Amino acid sequence: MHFKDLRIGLRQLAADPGYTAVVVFGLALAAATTLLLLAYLDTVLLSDRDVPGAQRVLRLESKTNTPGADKGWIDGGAMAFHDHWKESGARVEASSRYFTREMSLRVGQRMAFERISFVDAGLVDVFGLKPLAGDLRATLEKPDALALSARTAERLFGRTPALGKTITLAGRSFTVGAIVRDRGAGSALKTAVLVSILSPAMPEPFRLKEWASLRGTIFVRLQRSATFSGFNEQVNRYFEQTPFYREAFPSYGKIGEYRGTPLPDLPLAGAETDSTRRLVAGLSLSCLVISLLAAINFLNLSVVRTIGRQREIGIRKALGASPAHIALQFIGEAMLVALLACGTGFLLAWLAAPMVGDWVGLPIADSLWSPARCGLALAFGLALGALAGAYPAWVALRVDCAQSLAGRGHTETLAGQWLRRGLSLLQFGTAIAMIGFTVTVLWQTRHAQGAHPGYETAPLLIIDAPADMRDERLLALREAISHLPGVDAAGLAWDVPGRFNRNTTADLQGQKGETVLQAFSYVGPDFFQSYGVRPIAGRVFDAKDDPQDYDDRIVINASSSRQLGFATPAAAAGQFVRMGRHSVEIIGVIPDIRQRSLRDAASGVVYSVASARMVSVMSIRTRDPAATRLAIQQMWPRYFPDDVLRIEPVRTHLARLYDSDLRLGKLIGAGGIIALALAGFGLYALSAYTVRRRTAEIVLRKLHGARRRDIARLLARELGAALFAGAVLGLPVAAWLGEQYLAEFVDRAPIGFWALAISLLVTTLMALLAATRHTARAMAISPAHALRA
Amino acid sequence: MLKLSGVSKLHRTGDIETTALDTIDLEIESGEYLAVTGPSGCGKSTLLGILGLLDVPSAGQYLFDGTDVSGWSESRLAQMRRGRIGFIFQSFNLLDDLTVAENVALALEYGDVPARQRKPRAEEAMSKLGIAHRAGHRPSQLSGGQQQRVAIARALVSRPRVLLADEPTGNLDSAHGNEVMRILREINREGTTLVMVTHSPSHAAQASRTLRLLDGRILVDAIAA
Repeated sequence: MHFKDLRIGLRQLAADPGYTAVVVFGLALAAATTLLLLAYLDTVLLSDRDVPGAQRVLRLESKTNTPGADKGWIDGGAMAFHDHWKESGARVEASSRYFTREMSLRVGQRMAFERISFVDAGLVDVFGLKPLAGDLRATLEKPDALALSARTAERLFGRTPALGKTITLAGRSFTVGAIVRDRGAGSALKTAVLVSILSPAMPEPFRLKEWASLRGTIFVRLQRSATFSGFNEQVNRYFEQTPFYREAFPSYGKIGEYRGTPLPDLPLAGAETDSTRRLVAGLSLSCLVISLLAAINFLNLSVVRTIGRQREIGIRKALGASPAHIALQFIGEAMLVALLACGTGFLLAWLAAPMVGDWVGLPIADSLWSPARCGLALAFGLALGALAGAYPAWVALRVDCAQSLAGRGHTETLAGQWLRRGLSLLQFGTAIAMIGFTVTVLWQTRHAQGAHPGYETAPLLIIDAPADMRDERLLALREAISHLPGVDAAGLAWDVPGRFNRNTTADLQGQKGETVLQAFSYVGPDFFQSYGVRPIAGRVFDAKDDPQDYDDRIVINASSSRQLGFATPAAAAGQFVRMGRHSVEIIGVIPDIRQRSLRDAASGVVYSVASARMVSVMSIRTRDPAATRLAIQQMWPRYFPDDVLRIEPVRTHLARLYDSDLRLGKLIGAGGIIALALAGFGLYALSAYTVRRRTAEIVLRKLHGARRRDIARLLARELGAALFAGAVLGLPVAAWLGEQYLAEFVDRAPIGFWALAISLLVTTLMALLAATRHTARAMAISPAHALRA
Repeated sequence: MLKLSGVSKLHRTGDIETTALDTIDLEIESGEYLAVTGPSGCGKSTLLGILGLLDVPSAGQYLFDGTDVSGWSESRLAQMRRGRIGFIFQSFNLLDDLTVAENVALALEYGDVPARQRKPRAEEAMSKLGIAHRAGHRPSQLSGGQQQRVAIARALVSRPRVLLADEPTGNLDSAHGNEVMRILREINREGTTLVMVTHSPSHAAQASRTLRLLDGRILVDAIAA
């Protein structure tokens, strides 16, 4: 291959802008998707690659095995283990408890809301952390010092050196003792602000000693001689000797289990990584499909073009070009196109990175550019180009020199034609499958976001307060808010029903003496009023009759009433049942209100006004949300001067439950639209080729009296067959993918066959659009003109 | 220089087999000017294709410059063609994407001519054919006669010993046709072996030897007086 060949290739690309745009843009989309996928995988999988001996660093994860509880692993476990490694026999070299929460900070008069990580000094050894400035270990040993990441320091102090500066956290002063490097967004360790877990700012210090607590976790570095299985065995054996484990109901059997997950495995194999796995699969699928479709387009268009270049190939052969020369020329041209496409793809990736980053919930734009990643994407693009250019090169090699120079056309083999038709069908099928799946995901997500949670959401505002009910300020604030004009009720609870993310259960004794496990929810006395939930039997809590921490009365929901064996809700109201070791009165029954997402079935829930230390979420029912919000913003600093007000409509919280679904839908949707566009381009090329191949036949038919509509019918038959075969291929895949996705939901949108019908309709419209131009051209062919040519 | 012994060429389409050349024996000496005539479909172009190593015989032996090329691979045939054989076609077969100069220089790309010599060689060929002033034009911007001059320049630029012309005047008016014939005669006088397929009796009469084919066989092989 000569440089001049490439120059000629470039000139030919410029002379045929339509072809060039379709091919380059198609491959560019493949390159852009690949680069974005690599950036995403880099952020998710490799944020902790700098940790020395990462395989020996484990995060403690646990799962609850009690009946009715969520059986999945969670990224939390008893931090009490930290003080018992020696007794447990686990060969731990270093360890650090880890409790993280978003909290307010004050720097002078400025407020900020940051993720605070409460840790032990052992974290330095576990992660091999090296401070950029200051003494990190000493900082984490002090109760009144903290470390900031470089970006946090810049955010809080600008260009002024942060070391030695004072920050107020939870009403206490802390000195900045160290600056650490920012970790990747996908890191298991959040280092924006690091504070000693023994500092007075630790929000829930009681968790440090509790074996029942699963909030917070521990990172450990194993000794070189230790094994994972040995660690897991020792941890579980020790856990089973704890009073918490031994005192649990024997009928539950093994109530909990622990495991250590190595740091490199956390992103995909760790606990609570379902949404990440879904996103990785979604992005990989989109990338694969787009690359495949782009390659098919490239191949199809290149072959049509190669057939049109037979004379040139004949001349080159006559002038002494060997088969290797010809093959290299065509593959070289393909690589040139791929190179152009990669350049365009990098530009597209750069433009799309913030949007895609938003969809996947990670700032992937930060890790988009690196020589290795760009090199990998470039190599992928070139390999794709070379692969897709190989078949046209083969077609070029088969050109009969003497025949082509004599002007007698030679086309590809019948098998080749069928292969390309098959690939076009594959394009159609893929587009249909992806559009169908996208419709299913987005429809279900919309259904889930709009699903009624069992209470009126429209006038409800939620405040995530920085203090619990033991704090007089929170009670005073609630009182003040309840007297605001337009406010009907202001209640407290430990969470928002629907976003309920805590896993506490209670054991109740059913009517037949059996133990029935129920979800347990702590609420304030005004909770039900604020949510507008009325009892279907008995009564709900009331501030006058049911004071705070009055723990011998419960309210249950309708499911709980059934599960406890009561014939009707009315039969349950006023009854006494055993809860744990105490007797409690069921003062009323409420209808089921959704405690979790649509993926979970309604379950029995017990509501209690006990345990004020848990209750920190305020719900406000108001007739004028805007005015109420403004009034709260004005009064907030009087109660919590060191904290940022976090107030949002309850709908915002509920919508977040389906964030990952919406992201997946957007990703698959973007992939589907691109797939559809590429299939459209492919069809455009196929119809161009069909018309060119059948020109003589069309002319002859016209000579024998065929009308324009007869010609249209002739072409429509061929394209209709392609569409039909694509539908046969794609619709079952769309149905299967949709079913797999919907299987996770208990409450499903009434999609039926609509997703399939919509995908078929959209693809048909696209097919009509793509084939119109060449069909019209074929209908307009003048027999006289064609015969002259 | 070129020797065909018992050469046949069969074309097969499905079950139908047609004989394009039937046991041809032909020897062409160096410097000869051979005109090949005959009705359409008699095998003229097939013969030219085999002589030019573009096609391979189905049977028989072909000695090119004393070398038996029967059964050679496409790569070896391409190597043999390079710089040894020039082609001129009725439809010119110029590439519209290239300029005149690039079309001419294309013939040097696959040979052993060093890159720095290609441009002067192409300019020399264009000057010889009187088209140097059209070097930067595209073929579509030239008249038929000029296009054929470009094709001849491309055929000559590699200084081949054999020039094969397939109806070189077929697409030209008589004035341009005569001009092309004059150029070809000159090239032959300079020592290049010339084999020309033509339908024109007057052009055939200008050759030193005439071959008339019919149904793939040599009907007449006459040397001019």
